[in-house]
Amino acid sequence: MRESRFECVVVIGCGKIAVTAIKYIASLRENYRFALRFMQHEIQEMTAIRKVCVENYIDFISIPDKGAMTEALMQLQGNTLIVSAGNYYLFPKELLEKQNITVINFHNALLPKYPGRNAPSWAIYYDEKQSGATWHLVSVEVDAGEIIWQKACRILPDMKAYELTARIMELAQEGLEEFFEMLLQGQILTRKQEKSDNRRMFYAKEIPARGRLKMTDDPAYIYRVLRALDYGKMGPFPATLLELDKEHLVEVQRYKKVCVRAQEQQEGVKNLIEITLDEDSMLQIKYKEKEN
Amino acid sequence: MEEKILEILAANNEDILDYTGDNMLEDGIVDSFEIIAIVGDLEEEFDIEIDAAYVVEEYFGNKDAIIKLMKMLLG
Repeated sequence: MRESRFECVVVIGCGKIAVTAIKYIASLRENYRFALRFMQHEIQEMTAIRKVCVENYIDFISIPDKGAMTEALMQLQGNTLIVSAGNYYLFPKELLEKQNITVINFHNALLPKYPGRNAPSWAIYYDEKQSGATWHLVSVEVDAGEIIWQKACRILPDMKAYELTARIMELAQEGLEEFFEMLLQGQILTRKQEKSDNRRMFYAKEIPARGRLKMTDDPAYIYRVLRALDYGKMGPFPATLLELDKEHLVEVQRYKKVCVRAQEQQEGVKNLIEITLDEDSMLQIKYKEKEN
Repeated sequence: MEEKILEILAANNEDILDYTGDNMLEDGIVDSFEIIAIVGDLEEEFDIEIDAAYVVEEYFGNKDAIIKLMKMLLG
């Protein structure tokens, strides 16, 4: 049994990365001595996290209230590592200043680019050719701490926000498995983020293109915005609005890029518009009247 | 219709077809991203809108629950 620098590891987060991260960290208890706990802040439908905790004998605590979460974290005793994975709770300064607490966070972009919320959407919206995953130490300034591990992935031409998010989470898990034991052993090397005068924070209330498109917009831009806002039914954004003309605003239900040659003309189909993307492909957008 | 649904499920994740439990997400058979893709494919194939309220364990717990949901939505 190896000694761990941390007596306790706490995972906070939700989604696929929280599940895979805690499973992996739990498996390390065969070789390292530390207590493991999952603290749930965001209540999520349809998640495997509770079952994974039960099956792996991990303490599971649900604390949806922000104040109660801070209180619980402030009471953590002994050297504690907090792993923030898919987590929206902001760690307060007084916690980060405690000598016995180290906090690491997974961010879904290549920091220092796209700090804040919904980074995969912004990366697609700004037509980036690559994005990636970053694990970093948490500092008082959001997503500005020293970088522990980082890896890039390509943003494919038709990639939707949820597909990019899934790919970035896979990368994040690979990263965790590369550096986590070194972190437990206290052997991790970090590097400062490059400072930039025009660092821009992306807030939860912001939506790429403000969630609104016009038929007169460039077709490639329309397609990019639709992909940037696409998290299926589980997304952070409201339905994308499309201005058919000045007096007719509709909600996009779904869209698809199709090959012109393979596709029959859809003339006369209700609430469907077709936009030519290039000589080989077009965009079909199914919409519904906007509910007031 | 059932055949088409099973085709869609298999295209996203073949393990769904063999799964016999009642919560395939909790049991680690699928992840939330695959559920997003399945919902999108079903909407496209059957030209319907599946409200987010239906994207829960009760209706997406296994292949039979999904088939039952689709039958309900398609009348």
